[in-house]
Amino acid sequence: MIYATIFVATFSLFSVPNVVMATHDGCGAHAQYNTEGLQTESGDRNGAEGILKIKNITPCGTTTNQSYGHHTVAMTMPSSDFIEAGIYKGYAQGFATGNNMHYVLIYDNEGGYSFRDLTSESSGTKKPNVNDQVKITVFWDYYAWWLGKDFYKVIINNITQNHQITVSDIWSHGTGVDPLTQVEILNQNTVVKSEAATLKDRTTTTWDAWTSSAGFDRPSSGNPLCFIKDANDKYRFGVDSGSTCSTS
Amino acid sequence: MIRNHAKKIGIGSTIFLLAFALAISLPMLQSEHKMASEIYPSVSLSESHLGKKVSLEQAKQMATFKLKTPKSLPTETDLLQTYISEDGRYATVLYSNPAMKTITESVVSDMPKAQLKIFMEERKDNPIPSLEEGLPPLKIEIIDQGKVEQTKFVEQPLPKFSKVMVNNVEGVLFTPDEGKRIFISTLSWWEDGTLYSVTADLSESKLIQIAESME
Repeated sequence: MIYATIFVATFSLFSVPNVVMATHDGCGAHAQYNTEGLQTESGDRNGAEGILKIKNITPCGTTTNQSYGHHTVAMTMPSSDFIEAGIYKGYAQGFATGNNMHYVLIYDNEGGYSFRDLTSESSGTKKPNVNDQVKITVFWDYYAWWLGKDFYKVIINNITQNHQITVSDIWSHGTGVDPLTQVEILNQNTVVKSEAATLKDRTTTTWDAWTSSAGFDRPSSGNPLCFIKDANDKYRFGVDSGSTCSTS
Repeated sequence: MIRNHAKKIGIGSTIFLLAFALAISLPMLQSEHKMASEIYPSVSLSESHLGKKVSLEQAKQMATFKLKTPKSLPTETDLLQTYISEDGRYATVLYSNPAMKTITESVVSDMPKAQLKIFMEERKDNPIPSLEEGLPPLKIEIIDQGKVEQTKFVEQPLPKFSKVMVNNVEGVLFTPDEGKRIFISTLSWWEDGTLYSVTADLSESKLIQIAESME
């Protein structure tokens, strides 16, 4: 009995910090949650576009790698490469924007992963505000010989403030498959509330409103995020509060 | 009596030390786990992104290119799942092998846990050029009130890669680079209008052996 008591006491004494570390000071599980609107027509889609309106991004936690929230417009490619651009706030893997929302470009291909803070590229002069209308356009631009890669262009146009950031020659793999708009959070108590309207996709050179789309939560159960599909080309995203989806 | 007491103290001390060692090592183990499961901002795709689930034979019939599979595979490797796009222009074949590292670089959140992946895509032109051409930098243009304020060029992340030969065809081998989220090697080459890629945690020679056995 004495030995069991010593064991339990010792184990408990040294195990307490683990619980704190796992929950990140009350931010909840250190897990990633997504919810998205996805254009569901078949065939090649070479671009995605939408006007984002952020109501609120509140990451839970204020230290490196604790939590972040973002809302983006994205294109994915057959080999699971992707390019997404949008608005981000928080802390992940050293990708920190502090207590401000920033424009970001995030992409992945066999050549590597890149997270680029575009507000920092503008020396902090171009950044979105809550309720700004920000049109994000991601599209296949041209094919080049180098390692058989396709190159994409991203245009972030803040309609409200009348500024724009254009990024060209983004290296990726193949023309697009799925256009989507996505909200993502790290840590379950991070909050993102936002809208995506006038969602379009591009076939060769023409842009068309989404005529068929669906929303998804990943993972599908226990996800603190939620979405409301107002139309095929309009979604609202928010926090699942049981019976309702709070988006404002 | 004294011997028994000493024995009890000895056992007690051993248990205490074991408990202490266990308690100290747990945070380290957790920390290692945390490092291995670092989370990057990304998109999350469903399995359907890979295409329709079909049998290998069905995929071969649907493909607009020559769908090949390897004859030479590591022991205990089994076919797991085959996917093909609606238009038959690209396909993914997954294999399992309990002795190999699971592929983790995919953004497809609900993809079956596979240890070897073969991705094939119809590409009319040979996409494996000379490496000396280099990759153009990102061009970032900042515009305010309709006027260009600033134009800058920044380097794009480059993979670690080397040229290899696959059946006398020039290919490219991408090797792991955790800083760039590449955890497992990929060998790519182009043959007869198709881009082939084999991804697995294997040596260059074994990847080439698999690639050269594809028919």
